[in-house]
Amino acid sequence: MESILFGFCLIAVVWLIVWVERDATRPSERWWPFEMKGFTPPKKTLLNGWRTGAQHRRIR
Amino acid sequence: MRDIAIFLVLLGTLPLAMARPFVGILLWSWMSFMNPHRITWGFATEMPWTMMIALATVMGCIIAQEPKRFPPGTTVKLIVAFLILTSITSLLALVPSDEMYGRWSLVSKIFIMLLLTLSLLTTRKRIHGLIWMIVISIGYFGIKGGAFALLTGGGDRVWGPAGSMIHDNNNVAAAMLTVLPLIYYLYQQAENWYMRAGIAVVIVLTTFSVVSSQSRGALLGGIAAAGFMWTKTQNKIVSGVAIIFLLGAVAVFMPQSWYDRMGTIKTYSDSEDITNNRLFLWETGWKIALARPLTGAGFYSPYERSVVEQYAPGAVARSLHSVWFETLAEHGFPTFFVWLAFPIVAWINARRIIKYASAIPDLRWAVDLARMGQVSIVAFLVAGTFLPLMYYDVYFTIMIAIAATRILVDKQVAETTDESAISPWRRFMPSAQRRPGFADGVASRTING
Repeated sequence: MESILFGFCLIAVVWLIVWVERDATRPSERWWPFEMKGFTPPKKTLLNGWRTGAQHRRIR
Repeated sequence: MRDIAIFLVLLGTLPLAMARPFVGILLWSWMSFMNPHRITWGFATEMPWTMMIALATVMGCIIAQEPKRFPPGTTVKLIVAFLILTSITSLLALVPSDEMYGRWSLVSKIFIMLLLTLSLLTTRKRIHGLIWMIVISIGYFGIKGGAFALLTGGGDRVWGPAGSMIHDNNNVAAAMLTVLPLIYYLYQQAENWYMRAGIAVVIVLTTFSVVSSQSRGALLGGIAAAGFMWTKTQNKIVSGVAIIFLLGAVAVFMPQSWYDRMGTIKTYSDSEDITNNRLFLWETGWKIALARPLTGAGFYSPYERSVVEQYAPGAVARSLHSVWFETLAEHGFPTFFVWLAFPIVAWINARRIIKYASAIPDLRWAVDLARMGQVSIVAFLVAGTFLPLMYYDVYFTIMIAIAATRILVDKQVAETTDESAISPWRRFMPSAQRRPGFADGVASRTING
């Protein structure tokens, strides 16, 4: 029984690593057990990552 | 067979750590929390896995497009201060250098990797992944111990992997207790009902595992954590009934031998037995700390007969069974205060997260994590009062996760405030934005704080 649990553990670790590193912006048909409630992947827009003028001034 | 399996997993994932260093952080966490190589009993047991993972991760940090500087905040300063102070106390230690060096090296590696962990915890997904890795690593012993307890009637003890920090039954129980609130956090965050059902089973099994470890420190920590957790849950009636039901089931299940052992808590300080009376042991630590208040006597000093004979004649050289007194005896007061500042800063971070993120639905997860992180800290410190787990990496990693969550919350709160508070015409009026009261409050405080 312990070996089976150990095997599940190894699978879970590999699965988790793949899930953490996969691109969340791309839709996936696969089931990811680690998926979080209410997680919305960031929207891909032209202005993603750009600061507004107000943010620039506040950082300065 | 297990050797080959673990070898293949690491063979496949180690190169990935060089391209994506957070994979290295996850692997390092897994190896140090669970010590899977120590339960393989073959060639994999003695291989320097953690060193290989650490090298791959550091290389990855240099090569990959990741932040090249440490994030702001007090936690980084505390880690650096702790590394410097423990190095100084080790130079001035009274303990034979081989033992002391081994311990210093282990603790330094843990804290250096904590620095890397904090700088790479840049997204919610990564924080969530790290929490999952903690839960998988310690949950393994929870499931195994819980099933073992149910099969044997709870009469025997549960042990951790040999040669690890959590080998002792008390330590593995404290580890599971510390992680239990995080398992509940994952229960709250799980998207599917079947995942929630599975996690609920893990919670029940881990609770049985903690209790059947026959650790008195863990029992006290468990009672404190259950009470505190109840105050942190939203639906007090449902959570209260669930906690009482779970504890009641455990109480009915445990055999008389367990009650006899737990009954000895009353005689913790009454016993004349100098080797087991906790007050005698703590007094030894206190005497060493008072004799060497600035530097302590070094790593492992309470275990060293010559040191104990010098500062507390007649006392026994052994573990002091307390995170507080052992840290004091090993490193003196300055390092102790830095060590103590970790949970204080984590608590402040958690409170801040709860205060500012509660109003933002997207940050509900951060509030849940902060609350359960606080429960974990309480559980660890209460159980740790009777255990020697001062440098337990899971405990520090939880505090690192809270610090990283605070950084994310600060950013998002600032952005939210920017979006909602700045009307379009004011975006073009710098003078208006600098006026006191404008978009002030949350955003400006969080950016600067």
